[in-house]
Amino acid sequence: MRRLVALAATFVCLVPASARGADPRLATRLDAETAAQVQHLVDAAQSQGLPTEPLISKALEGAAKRAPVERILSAVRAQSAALGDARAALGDSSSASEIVAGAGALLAGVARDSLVRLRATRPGQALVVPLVVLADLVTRKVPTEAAASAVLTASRAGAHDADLLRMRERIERDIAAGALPANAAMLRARGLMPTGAAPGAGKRSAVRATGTGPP
Amino acid sequence: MRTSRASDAAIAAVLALALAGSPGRADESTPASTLVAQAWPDSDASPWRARTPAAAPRSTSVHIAAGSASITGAASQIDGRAAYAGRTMGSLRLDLAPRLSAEVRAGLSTLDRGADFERRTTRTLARLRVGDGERNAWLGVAFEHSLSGTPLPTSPSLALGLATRAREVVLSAGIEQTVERVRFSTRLRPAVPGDTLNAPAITMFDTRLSKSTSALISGRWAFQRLTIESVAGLTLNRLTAPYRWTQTSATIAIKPRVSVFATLGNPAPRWLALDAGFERRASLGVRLTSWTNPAAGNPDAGVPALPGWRLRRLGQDWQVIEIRAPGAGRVEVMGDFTGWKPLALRHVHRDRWAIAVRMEPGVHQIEVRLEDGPWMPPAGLPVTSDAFSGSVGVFVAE
Repeated sequence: MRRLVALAATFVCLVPASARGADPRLATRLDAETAAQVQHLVDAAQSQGLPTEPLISKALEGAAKRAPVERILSAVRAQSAALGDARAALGDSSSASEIVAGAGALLAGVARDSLVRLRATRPGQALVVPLVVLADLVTRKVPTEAAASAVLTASRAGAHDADLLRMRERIERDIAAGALPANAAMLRARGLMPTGAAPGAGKRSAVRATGTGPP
Repeated sequence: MRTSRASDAAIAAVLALALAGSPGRADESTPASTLVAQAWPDSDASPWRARTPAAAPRSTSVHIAAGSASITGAASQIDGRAAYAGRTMGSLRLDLAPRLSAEVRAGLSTLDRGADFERRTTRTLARLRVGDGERNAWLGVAFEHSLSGTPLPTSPSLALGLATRAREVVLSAGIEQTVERVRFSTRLRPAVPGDTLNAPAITMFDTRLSKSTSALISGRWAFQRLTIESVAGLTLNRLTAPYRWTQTSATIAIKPRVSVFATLGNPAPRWLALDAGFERRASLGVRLTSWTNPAAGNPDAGVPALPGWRLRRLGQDWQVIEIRAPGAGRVEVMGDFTGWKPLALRHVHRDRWAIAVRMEPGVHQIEVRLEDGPWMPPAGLPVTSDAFSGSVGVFVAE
């Protein structure tokens, strides 16, 4: 019985998804032709070993917003390309979560080189959180170079994931209080550095000195 | 089943508040900062006479709600004497799980008809609610305690109900046990030994406390400025005949925060410890509230501002999304975490709406929609292009 189940599972894995039919979410939310085209892109990504969930999510988003078919397909292709670029930048051994986070950063405007440098900074460590923080900072109008510099600086200083998330929160607060995004990112990243590397600063005094708001 | 008519106005106000509540809620939360003033015309069996402008008000009431606390006061004339009724209530609500919440309500009711009658009663109600803003069911238990007057039974009263919503229509049904002060009559025919003539029958009136069970069903429909709600019920107890009651209310928002409402019908036999009376009647009232109705303002007021938002971690992979949307009657979100399907939020309190959703830590995208309007990113969130000629809010779930 176990052999039979294993055989069946192997067969299911080997058969292309398109042959098994479109993802049920695509089939129910898109017309048959569009669903088939999206499924083709999904299958292509899967054959390259890329995560496919972001592609399906993008198609569903387009369907929810009643976007034209061409626009949906274009968005899915762009997402797929970003996933491929992210894996190329982060390395073939990257996890699916890292590739998804990296693609999000690239689509947000982060340079591919920043991902390469980030991998070099934290070899063998998970990059999901740094990439998430990086993408978030860029979305918050922190210039891409400043955002990448902030995350790289913090990572080089040995900041853990939790530290990076706190840094992101503080930058968000500073920006909401009126700080220039680039200044907020720089100051908060500096605050994560060892005391000797951030002379006297104190995140509070530095931010207040610029008149940018509360800590 | 009547003890006093002094509390009619209080009951009217409470009922009117329930009837004229803000649209779009399938639960029983009340809008905060609400002031209701209402006058009952003279009680009369004919509702038509009561609706004539010449009918002089016999009782007046005021209801004020702020946050989760409320106070109701009423004054009336009974047999030429002044009577006063009041009630104060407070409630606390806790979200126990994504689709499970608990609520505790406690209140004190007083009724003073002068030297011959005074009654003070406390009531505590605990309620467990399962579901969301679209469909939910609840189970409750209530305890009443008499601070003065006749002691009340110590056994708990049970309540259960369910509510559902389909767009602008909210339907709810429930069964609730209460302890009623029931007035009933007994006809006695005295039999004298040896007397062959029939003795005249004697009718004796008595009042007892009796547990009653009320089944009620209500519906509410809100559209633009108009809200119409109707409630009907059947009350049973073992001492008197079944009592059917129904009441309909229409509310029109004349300003974003001001409404006038009219109510017609015979009210529930009892609202907590207060007697409602049997007669059909009509009333007219004014409601001031912090709950705005955009349809009553200028045309621009119908376009809601970007709603604010907050994310709160509930547990492993569960987050609570809170949206602040003043004046909204319906709030929905969608994002990658919903598979880009609209998800209706549950009204929590005042302008706050919330829903618990499952999402993995990471970057997520979200959009919000009010009153079936356009999708837009919540205020305060960074936005990015969505690749579909629009923008989407981006946030990080930790």
